[in-house]
Amino acid sequence: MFSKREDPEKLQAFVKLLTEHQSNLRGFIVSLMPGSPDVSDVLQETNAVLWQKRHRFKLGTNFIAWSFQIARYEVHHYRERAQRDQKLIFSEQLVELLADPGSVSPADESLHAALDHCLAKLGEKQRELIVERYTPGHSLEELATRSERTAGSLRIALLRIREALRHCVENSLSSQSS
Amino acid sequence: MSQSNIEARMLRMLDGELSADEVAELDRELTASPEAREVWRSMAQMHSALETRFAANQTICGLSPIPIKRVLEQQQRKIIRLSVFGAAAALVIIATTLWLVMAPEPSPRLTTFHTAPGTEFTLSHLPGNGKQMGNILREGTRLTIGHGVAELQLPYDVRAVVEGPATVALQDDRTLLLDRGRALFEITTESGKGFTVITPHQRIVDLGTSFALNVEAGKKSVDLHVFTGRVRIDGIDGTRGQILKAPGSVQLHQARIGDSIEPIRFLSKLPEKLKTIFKEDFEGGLLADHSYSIRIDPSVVTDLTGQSADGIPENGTWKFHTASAIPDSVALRNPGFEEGGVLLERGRAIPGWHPGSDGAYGWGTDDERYGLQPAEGRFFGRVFPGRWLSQPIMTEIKAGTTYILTLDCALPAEAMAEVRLWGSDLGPEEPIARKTIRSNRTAWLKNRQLVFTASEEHATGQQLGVSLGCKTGKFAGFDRISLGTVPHPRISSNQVREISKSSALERPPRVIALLPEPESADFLPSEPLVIVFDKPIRSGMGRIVVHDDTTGKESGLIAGSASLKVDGETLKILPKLSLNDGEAAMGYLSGWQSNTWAGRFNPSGDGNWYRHEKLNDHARSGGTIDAMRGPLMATLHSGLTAGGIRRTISTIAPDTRYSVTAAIGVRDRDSNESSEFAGYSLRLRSGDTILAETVGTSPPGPPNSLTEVGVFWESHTLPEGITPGDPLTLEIVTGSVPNGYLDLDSIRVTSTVAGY
Repeated sequence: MFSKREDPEKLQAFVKLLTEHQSNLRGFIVSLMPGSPDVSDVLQETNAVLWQKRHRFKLGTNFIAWSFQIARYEVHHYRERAQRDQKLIFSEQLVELLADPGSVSPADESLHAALDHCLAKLGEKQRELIVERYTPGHSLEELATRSERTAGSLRIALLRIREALRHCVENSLSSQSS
Repeated sequence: MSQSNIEARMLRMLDGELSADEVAELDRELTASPEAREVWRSMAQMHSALETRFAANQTICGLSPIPIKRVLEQQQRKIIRLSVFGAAAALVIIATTLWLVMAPEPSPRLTTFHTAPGTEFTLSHLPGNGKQMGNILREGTRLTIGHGVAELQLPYDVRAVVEGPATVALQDDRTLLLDRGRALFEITTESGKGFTVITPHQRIVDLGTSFALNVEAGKKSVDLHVFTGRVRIDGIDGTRGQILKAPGSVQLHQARIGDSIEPIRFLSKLPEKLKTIFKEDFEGGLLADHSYSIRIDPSVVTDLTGQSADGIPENGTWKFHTASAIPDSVALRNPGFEEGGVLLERGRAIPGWHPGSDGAYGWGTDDERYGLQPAEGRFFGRVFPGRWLSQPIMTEIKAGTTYILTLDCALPAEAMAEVRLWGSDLGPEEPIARKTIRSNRTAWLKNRQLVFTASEEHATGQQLGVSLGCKTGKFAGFDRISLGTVPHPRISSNQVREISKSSALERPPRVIALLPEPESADFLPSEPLVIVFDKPIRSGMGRIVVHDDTTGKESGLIAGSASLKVDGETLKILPKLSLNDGEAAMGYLSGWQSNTWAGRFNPSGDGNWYRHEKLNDHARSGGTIDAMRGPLMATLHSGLTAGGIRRTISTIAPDTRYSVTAAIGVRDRDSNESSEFAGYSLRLRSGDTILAETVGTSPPGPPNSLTEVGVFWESHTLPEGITPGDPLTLEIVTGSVPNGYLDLDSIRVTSTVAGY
């Protein structure tokens, strides 16, 4: 429907909210469909629907709650496909529980600042492991061959590093907010 | 499970490493514990942030594998207006336009590719094959060209120019898969000897040469042209085959060399530019039997000096109603068999219905032996195998009229009925259209339709007739029979009044004619809305709002958009059409002449027309599949005679190469609307002369898909009687299959200077 000229200020504010919360949205989608290669697609679809429905969003209301609700809906459609393809997914009951935003998510900027801060605290080898795990096209198997370690031992090390990172990020965020 | 175990399991879940049992266990833990869910949310946020952070390191040189098609779809839906929708999508667009500039220097052992500006292509990877790197084609990467041209530089001095529609994939550094498309291969040094192209039907092994292949989707034969040197044609299983020396142009059937064919020219370099001369996604138009009112901002067009034309205000001076696509009803005698007739020795004589030529009578009955009650009333018509009930109708067959016979058909299990339309010249034995109806179980099949569009050859003054018969099984029953007619939607250019040429330079442009005229009630929605001004105009600012008074919906068109076309003194308006999922709007195709039953539909993922997982049925009209550029597609109905759609798209330019592609749809076998694939002819013509044609009788792709097919034509040699400046017409025709369909979308016509 096309009826009114958009207020540029409102549009700008909406775009700001949308860009600010991209990481939150992505993280939320990852929490509902972990391990799926389709996260970016679902995020893209969610963004598209948010944009289409921008007129329905009232500035000053809870953008996170509104956008999570739409993302939840998009994840629902992904789940139907995933079920057909017999992929491993969480139960509907758990997804409903997880879809409740619960505590307020940190703003993207804070999360990324905390993450950078914590990554900087890692040792060189620990950072290398994280880089290998998260850089597209790289694999732990390649690193295992290069470093003459087993992929299994690297996986265990990676689990520990990520645990440490998570605690560091949480502490960093809580100290920022206090 | 201990806290640390749960957290370790969560991380492994994020990595996709858990077994089904472990997922179920984690699911239970998370469901039971709010604290665990908090940890999970936090972990997922961090995991996602890490993915984003390190993916960002790669995006400049590592193109995200979002297909171009997807981006185009998004653009089509006017979603990506701002760059807020993910850096990846934006980067794909940039990468498309800067492809040549940003391309890294090719390594001699890598395969690189470049595309001509305007090429629409998709890259896809094998699962687990990582991200696309720049313009490097990696092993397993599939390059699908919807429309346009790509040049591949392969290792060992092998070069290929591939023209879409095409799909290629690199198997290894000496082997390329060509699933479909036209491609020229040049192997310039001894090191390239042994380079192999694998088509779906054979392997072409280079023995030091340049050669070209034309592999068409849905066809078993492949065209091979050897220009220099020689090639060997091996079986698809690798068995050694015959050698073909240059010069040679042949048709290949598997590894067998068949008939010689005319040599044709292939592009040997990337065109500098592809000029789009026609583009159709079947997304625009008006609905039949709807009321519209149009509002136009004053500044939407200006004259050439910038003076704004007057608009058309909201108070509705331009209102009209479109013609109906609902068939006019033709009176049939005794259409529900309620006049039961007289019981005779060999059957029942039924008023209005004649027995077949074998002298056997038809039956009207309320017999319930097979559990088949009449669909309506007390009786239905019952016909035994080999027998017919026929009715001549006092209606003269008219060229361009579509006849739609609708009826309910009762069939015991394994029975088969046939219904026919016939002309009085040849009678029921040689029908002009027919349809068989079958059922695996005993049932009434409701609202079965036989659709037929008459052409000039049928319009001899003869009358129309209807026959109902049983081919096999115990019997066939018929009830609720109706016959409707729809006039052929013709485009008439003289509906716009002659323009007064007395233009006044000093004052703003004035509207001197509107099509449709205000308050008209029979505007054919196959035509665009046209406004004629008294002087040449150009696009200004503001918008046009097309208000559907029947539904209350509005479509807003911004000045300068593709939906508004300025040509001299005229402005053509093609509003966006909106249909619900699974909805069809038959009878008209905006901008096209047709001589068959044609229209548009919005395929639905729940099995109405198509059932494809990429159709997003949660959003109204939001679904697209494969080669679709928007939510709507066109569909043509086929009959015993071929019919199609046609429009003039340009005039013939000298020494120009024209490329036409169209995406052809193949419905799911279980679709609620399935019928037989009718085949297609994609043609360029000028007047009565066919300039180039591609014919396909088999589905070009699997069910649930749209596959691009193409036709090419060069104007460097013109057929007799054709000269540059003559009209260039695009025509798409169905095969002659009773009650078949041809679904299509995404038509593109580009031209380029024919340089080789």
